Amino acid sequence: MNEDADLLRRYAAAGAEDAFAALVQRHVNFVYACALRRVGGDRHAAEDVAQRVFLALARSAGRLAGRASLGGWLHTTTRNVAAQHVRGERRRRVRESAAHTMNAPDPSPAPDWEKLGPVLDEALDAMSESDREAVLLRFFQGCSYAEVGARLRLAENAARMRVDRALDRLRGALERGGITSTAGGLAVALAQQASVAAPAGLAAAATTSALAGAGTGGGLLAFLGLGPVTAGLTGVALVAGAGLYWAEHRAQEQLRAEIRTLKAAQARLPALRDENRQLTLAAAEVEELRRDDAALRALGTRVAEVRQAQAERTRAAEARQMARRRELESWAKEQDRLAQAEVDRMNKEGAELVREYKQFTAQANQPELDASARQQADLAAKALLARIQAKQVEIKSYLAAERARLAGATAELRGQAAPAKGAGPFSFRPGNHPSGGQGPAADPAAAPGTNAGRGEGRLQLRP
Amino acid sequence: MSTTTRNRRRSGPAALLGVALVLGGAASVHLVQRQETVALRAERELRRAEAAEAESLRSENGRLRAAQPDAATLAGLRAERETLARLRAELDALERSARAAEATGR
Repeated sequence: MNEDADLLRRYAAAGAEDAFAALVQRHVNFVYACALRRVGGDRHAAEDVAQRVFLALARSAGRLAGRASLGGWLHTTTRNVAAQHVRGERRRRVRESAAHTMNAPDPSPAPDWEKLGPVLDEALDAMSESDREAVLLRFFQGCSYAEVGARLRLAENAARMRVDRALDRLRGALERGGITSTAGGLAVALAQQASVAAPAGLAAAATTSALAGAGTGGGLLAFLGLGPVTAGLTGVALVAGAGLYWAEHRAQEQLRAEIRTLKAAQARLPALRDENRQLTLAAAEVEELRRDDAALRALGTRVAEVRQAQAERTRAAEARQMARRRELESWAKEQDRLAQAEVDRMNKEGAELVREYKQFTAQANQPELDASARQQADLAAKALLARIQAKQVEIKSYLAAERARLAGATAELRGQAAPAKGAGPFSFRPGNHPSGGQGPAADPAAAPGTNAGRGEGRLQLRP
Repeated sequence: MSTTTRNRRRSGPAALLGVALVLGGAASVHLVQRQETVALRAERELRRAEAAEAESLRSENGRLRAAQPDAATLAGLRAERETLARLRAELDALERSARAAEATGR
């Protein structure tokens, strides 16, 4: 069972800090040694590099959980982090350390570490992953061949063969770089690196730092596996986006504040509209009233004119009526006079007829006269009686006609009825009424010449 | 080929997808924000128009109030309206009377 993979899975799945601490404890020396090489022996720098490597390990735990061995990844990451840290500055420093005796120490001389250190990592990087893992496990982490085989899922002998071949390839690569050594000497030099111990407390510090740093936002980019350039561009884009968001947010806040202010200022808008409507109606009413006022003045003038004309017409009508009244009164007096004269004349004729009638009646009754004479007198008396009766009828008719004429004139004067044209007083013709005739009254008791016709002949006009 | 290079090649699509997701999310947020800003600007323009209307109404109402006659003048004008109606009726009667008089020749 691969212990690194188990520990990584536990940490990635459940955040088991004890598993991560065990991982750090297992690899801290190796990472520290690698970092120390890359930074030229600066211990403080190497400690920093180691902490950053384990921080990266914590952030990449989920992705690395399936790996059989972490040695290769730790080595590569340590190199990258150290390279970032020193930016090409490397100091050669020789460290003296106690040699770690291997199973069969080679008496051949070991290569000069001051020359080997700077190029060793490049040579390791140039190896295949399986060879690099074998060398790292055997010489840097101090594993036995059995442990190397267990990590690489190989038998012990197969692991030994792979280590040997890898060591040989590494020696060849170093030779091409100008560093000559035998395989045994190179093995001794590499084994010395396994003895480099990390400072006390580095494991705990790296664990704490990694566990704390793994929870930060940078974990997302690391989880995504972004490269520095991509991560940088993404970061710039995110910062620009945040800036845009903030600017837009500020603009929206200002808009909302302005809208709130405007809303508060418009709270009276409905009331203003109502007031405007009422004032407009009132102004229209006042305008109409002023027009009525002008019309009233014009109408007053017109009414005064009409009243004056009416008054003039009334005065003219009254004058005409007065003249007419006077004319009618004059006419009525003249008519009264003429009628009275006519009645007097008819009464006189009637009285003459009555006198003759009485004379003939007396002759008819005289015995001394002969019979023929009395008969003639009687005939004459009878004829006179007929004439008297005819005269009475004539007088009555005349009086009735005069009464009707005077009644029409009176009605006209009172304004009750207008006289028909041609039937007024000016159409009166004296020749229309009887101008002759005489005789006694038809009734001898009412003898002509007494009161018959006299009373009736008196015409009275009452305007 | 180094392990780092291989790791980067393996994680390239995921990284691009992640970046695309992040940028897409940011663009969506920005779009929503812009739409909200546009709506707020439209509302602000509406409120400004209403504010201008309110100012115009205040000015016009002041002018109308100043032009309004006092209560006594208004009552007088209303009374004159009644007088006008009465005079019209009188004039109508007078004119009818005049026409009738002319027709009768009096």
